[in-house]
Amino acid sequence: MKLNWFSPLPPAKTDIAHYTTRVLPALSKLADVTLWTDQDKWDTGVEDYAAVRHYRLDRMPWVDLNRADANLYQIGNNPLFHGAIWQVSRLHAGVVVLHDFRLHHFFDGLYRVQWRDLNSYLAVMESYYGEEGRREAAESFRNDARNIQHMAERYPLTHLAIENALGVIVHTQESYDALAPEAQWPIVYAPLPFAASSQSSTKQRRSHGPPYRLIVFGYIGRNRRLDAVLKALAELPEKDQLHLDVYGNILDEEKQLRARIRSLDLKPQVTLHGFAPEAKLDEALAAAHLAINLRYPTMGEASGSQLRIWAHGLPSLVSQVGWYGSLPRNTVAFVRTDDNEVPDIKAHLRAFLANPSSFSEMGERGRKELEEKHTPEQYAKTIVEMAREARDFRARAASFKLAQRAGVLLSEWLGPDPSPEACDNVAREILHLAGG
Amino acid sequence: MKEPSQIASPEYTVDRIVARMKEAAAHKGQLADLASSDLVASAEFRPARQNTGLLSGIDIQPIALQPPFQPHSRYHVNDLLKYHDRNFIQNAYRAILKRGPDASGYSAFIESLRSARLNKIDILARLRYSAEGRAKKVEIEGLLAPAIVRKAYRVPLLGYLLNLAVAIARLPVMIRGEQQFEAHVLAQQELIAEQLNSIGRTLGAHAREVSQVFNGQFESIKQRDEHVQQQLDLLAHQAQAARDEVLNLLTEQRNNIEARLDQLDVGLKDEAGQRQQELRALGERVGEATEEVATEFRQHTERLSGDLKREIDRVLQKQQQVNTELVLQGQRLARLLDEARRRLPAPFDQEQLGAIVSETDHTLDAFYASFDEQFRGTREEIKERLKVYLPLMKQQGIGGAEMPILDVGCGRGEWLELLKEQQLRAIGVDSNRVLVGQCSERGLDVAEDDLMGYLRRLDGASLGAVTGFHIVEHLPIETLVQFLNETVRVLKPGGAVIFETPNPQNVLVGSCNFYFDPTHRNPLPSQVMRFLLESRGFARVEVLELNPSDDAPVDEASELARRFNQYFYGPMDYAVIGWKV
Amino acid sequence: MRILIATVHVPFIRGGAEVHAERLRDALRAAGHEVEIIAVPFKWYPPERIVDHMLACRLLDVTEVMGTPVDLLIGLRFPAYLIPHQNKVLWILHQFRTAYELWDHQLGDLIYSPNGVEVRDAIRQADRQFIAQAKLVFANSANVAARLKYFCDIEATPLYHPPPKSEEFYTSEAEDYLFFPSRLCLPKRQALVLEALAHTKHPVRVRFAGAADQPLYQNELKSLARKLRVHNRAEWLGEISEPEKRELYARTLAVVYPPIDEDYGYVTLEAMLAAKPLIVCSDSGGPLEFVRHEETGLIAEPQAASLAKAFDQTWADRTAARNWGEAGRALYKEMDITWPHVVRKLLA
Repeated sequence: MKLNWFSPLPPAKTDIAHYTTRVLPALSKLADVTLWTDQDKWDTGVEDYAAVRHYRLDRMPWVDLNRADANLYQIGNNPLFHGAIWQVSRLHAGVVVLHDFRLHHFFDGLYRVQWRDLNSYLAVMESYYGEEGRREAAESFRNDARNIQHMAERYPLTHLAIENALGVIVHTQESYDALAPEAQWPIVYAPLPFAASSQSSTKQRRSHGPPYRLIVFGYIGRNRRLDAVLKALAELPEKDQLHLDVYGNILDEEKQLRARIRSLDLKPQVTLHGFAPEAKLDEALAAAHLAINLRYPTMGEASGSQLRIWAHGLPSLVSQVGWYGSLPRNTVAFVRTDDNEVPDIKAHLRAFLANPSSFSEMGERGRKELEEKHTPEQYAKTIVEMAREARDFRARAASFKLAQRAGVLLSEWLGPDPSPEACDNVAREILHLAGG
Repeated sequence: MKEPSQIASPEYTVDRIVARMKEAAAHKGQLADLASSDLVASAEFRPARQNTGLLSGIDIQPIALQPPFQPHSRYHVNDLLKYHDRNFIQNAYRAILKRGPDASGYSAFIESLRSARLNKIDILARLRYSAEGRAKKVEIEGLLAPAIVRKAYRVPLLGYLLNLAVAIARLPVMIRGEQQFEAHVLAQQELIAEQLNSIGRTLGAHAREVSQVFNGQFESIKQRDEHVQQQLDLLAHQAQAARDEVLNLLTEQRNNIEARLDQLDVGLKDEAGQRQQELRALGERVGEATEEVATEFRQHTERLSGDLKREIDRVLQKQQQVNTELVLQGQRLARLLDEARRRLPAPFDQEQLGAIVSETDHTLDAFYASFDEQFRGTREEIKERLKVYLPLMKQQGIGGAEMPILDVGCGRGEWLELLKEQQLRAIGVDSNRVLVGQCSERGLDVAEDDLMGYLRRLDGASLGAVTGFHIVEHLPIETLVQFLNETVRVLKPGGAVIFETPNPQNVLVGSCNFYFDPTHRNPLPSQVMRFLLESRGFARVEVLELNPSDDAPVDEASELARRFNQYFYGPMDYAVIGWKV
Repeated sequence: MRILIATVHVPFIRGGAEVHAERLRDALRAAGHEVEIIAVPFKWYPPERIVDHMLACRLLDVTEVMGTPVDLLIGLRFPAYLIPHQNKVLWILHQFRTAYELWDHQLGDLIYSPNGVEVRDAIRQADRQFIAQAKLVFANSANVAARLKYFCDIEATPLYHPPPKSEEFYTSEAEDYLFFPSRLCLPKRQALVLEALAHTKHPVRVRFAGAADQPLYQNELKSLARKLRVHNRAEWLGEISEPEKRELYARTLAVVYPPIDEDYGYVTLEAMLAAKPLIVCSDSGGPLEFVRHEETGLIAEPQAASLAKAFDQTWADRTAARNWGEAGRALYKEMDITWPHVVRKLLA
């Protein structure tokens, strides 16, 4: 089976590039994979498993896409990494792998920021969300005051990414439950792959007494709830027994964050490390006792960082929303949102200090979960099955598009809401064309 | 419900198809027809932006007329009042209700605000004391009092009176407020103008850049296009010619060739074999012969060069002997003259005296001839150095039949020879008999004469140039001045003079080397020579510094080293050049 | 019977397929039926237009006209053969070739479109679905039938038709030449024949009839002949008239026809009509359906030496050649390659 795989590749700074390197060894055993990229540079390590082809949008070799059994498109929220991939996917139907469910950030970045194309953006919003969607989009376009978070919550634009898909792969049960009832494409929920073994080489260097090390890592934006964590920590009488390490770029208002740490009198307890290379981060995770992996609001994504936490056998606090909320209860500690957030964090930290060993058992259960459900081998198998399904679905996808064209034709003399009877005969013939 | 990793297949039924049709009908197919290749060029498909640097700089920031809004948990009423119009309403909602405005509230408030039915205090109060606002409990300092007052205003009669009274009382405050607002508006206008200007500038710069690039590209494309067109024409022409030629050739030759091919074939093969053998034999013979010739040539050359070397040695030896002989002769002659002077009873008559004196003048001729050899360099070196003056001599007809060049103190005649080689007419004059003899032997046009006497006998305006190399330093200053006067006289207008002399600015030359030659009189600094020439009426006088010292200068970057090198290793000679107007 | 022949027509383009449909119509009319051709206009780009045309065909209703039923629909070409009818017989000239044997081929264009493979699959799916629904499926040749089987797993019977003016062919005494009528182009392999001439022991002569697709190619062949020193034995007749052609068939010793994988090929049938043996190659496709080795002609390997041997054999044994020719004519009769036969089969 011949597969074309469109994805950011390392050294691109995105977890999706890492994801590709995690899947590739297993996948290349089952299929003949070609990696496609528009990056000028990539780590040649991936070439051990697959040929790499560089492409440019204005001269795509469609013939090579047509020759494959299936093309797989990785779609996430960063327009820099996924903009070109999405555009290819619009022209040549393939399997779309959704790394995020809410994609408004992505399309906002493309239409509004990158292309400055208000009209297309509004047309898209109107098409999916009607008059109201158009109005809100227009307002948000004019006025940055409108919260992009609000737009993402309300208008995820997921369908714009998968409309032309021959198959959809999602990484969360929540996304699956949202899309599967539409039954437009073959769809599968494949738990995000992570090789547990890749971290086992890092020696655990946890100390056996206070101060216990808490860790927060990744891109640190507001959605990582660091404010709440700091507040909880400050209010905790036993805070001297804890130390919080923060790894990763701080996305906004670092000054304010530092000021806040000072004003809460937490300077001795909190260290901001900034961006750390992979190896250093693994060392820090190996030395940590508890990870705090809160995320709210969420774009509906499955979290590679949670899998990494588990791979280190670390217990963790997670927000009880989205994918995190669906995790087995005994593998993480849930933190509710809004008014319960700070009290919950405090309660968990107290429980941790009272009984550290019960938390480290939680970490071990997490590792087990990872080993059972998230193996790259299982994931690769699912990919290949989906590719096969998508290939067989191609003729039907063509007839769905034919139906759309026919619908437009009918609307020209029957108006925007033709009766089912008017459609019926045509629909039947379309159905039969693709063997229904 | 599917387990993870189990694929759910889509339904493929009439209902699904109908649903798609209806969906597309409703949207007028905005998103249908995705894969149409018609769409490739349309807005849906955009080539990735190339970061050419051309357009990437255009980044027009939105004009922010009002400060950004920072949400807090409590506000002073002025925090919110500082916003205007839409922003005011937006921010009031966000501050008080912690959400954006809903459509109906927004449009109602904006309308009221613009029509002055409500003022900002009213709107803040309405929001804050609405049910939703009460629930959110946002503290707004300084809102309550004015809000109550505002409410009182809207009670009909009381309102009117209050309005009147307060209006009178508050008139100064209102005027101040009005002024503040005016200032604010003015400031905003300025800000806008500034923004617009800066955008204009940016756009202008980019437009220029773009148009430059475009013009450049257009030009180069046009050129390439023309070039390609030429090439194409040429190619087409060539192809046509070639085709015609080939076709003609083919039709003419084919019959002949075909008829003769068979018989030729066999014959050719045999003949080719034979020819090949012959050629091989011939080749071998040629090789042998070449070898012989080469050997003979080598031997011959060796013999010849041996002979030549021996001959040169012999000549050199001979010349050495002659030199020595000459010196001895000179000494003998000097002694003889001294002796004669002492012994002579009667004084010489004038004629005898003249003859003797002139003979005395020649006693050093032989010495001088060999001195030149010793200190000034070989003939070839001198000639090489003198080439620097040739361009001057080729100007304005100098060296033609009408404008001969006179070289005073022509010495061994290197300069004369150089001029002759360039087909320039030149005459030399020297008082050294030995040297004049050497020059004559070389077929150069020279006269043995005292240079002042020679010059005086010449007609005025009869020469194109007068040159003198290492002459002027031999003359007493009065003679030098007279010499220059004569020079001016004999030159034609447009004629030139060149005088080369040791450069006393080089300390070593001035203090030492100058005196190698005992017949040298005064070192002549270039400034002096320039002054002399200019005072005698020469124009466009210039000084040319020559022959920097061969000795290695001090290899150091310091100021001291620079000065030292300048004074000790600077040019050893200079030439002064002037033109007769 | 009231019969409709369903075919497609690219407006303003007239070629062999149009002539073919008209000959079928004439034959059916000669058999006493009421016949018309319905030609669906066709455009194949952008690719989704093909799918649109498929649906358009499916939406046509030609089952009856004002209460009088249409008794039979004969479908010839894609996508017209998708038109629904309760009594449909297909006689497939060929499928949409760029979706099949020309998909990943230098002549293919569909594969270069972004959505090419999707449209290809839609075409294949529809063919599989609707060709099989016809009452009878015939193919123009065994080759076309084989492709139907290979790509769509559909059984089709080859049904041959006679070349134009088949009744005017005749035979005569063999003269000293072999005849090779075909356009001069690579797939017909005139060059191979020249190479074979260079290997013959007898002074075999070949007369080539037909214009070159490209003038340069003709020059190339001629210079090749000179290079091989067989130019005295190769004669280039260029384009000839129909009577001339029939005369050259009649007087030849044998007909040479060694193309690569030909669909059908009228030359084979014309040779048989003129009672001449055929010399073909083992990879020539269509012709092999008619030539029996050393019964109606010779089948050589597609190499010069093997072909030369066949030439020599024919040249040396005139009696055998004449017998094979006669046997060929008899076989043609036996196979009944006539329009009445075609009509009988289609109406069965």
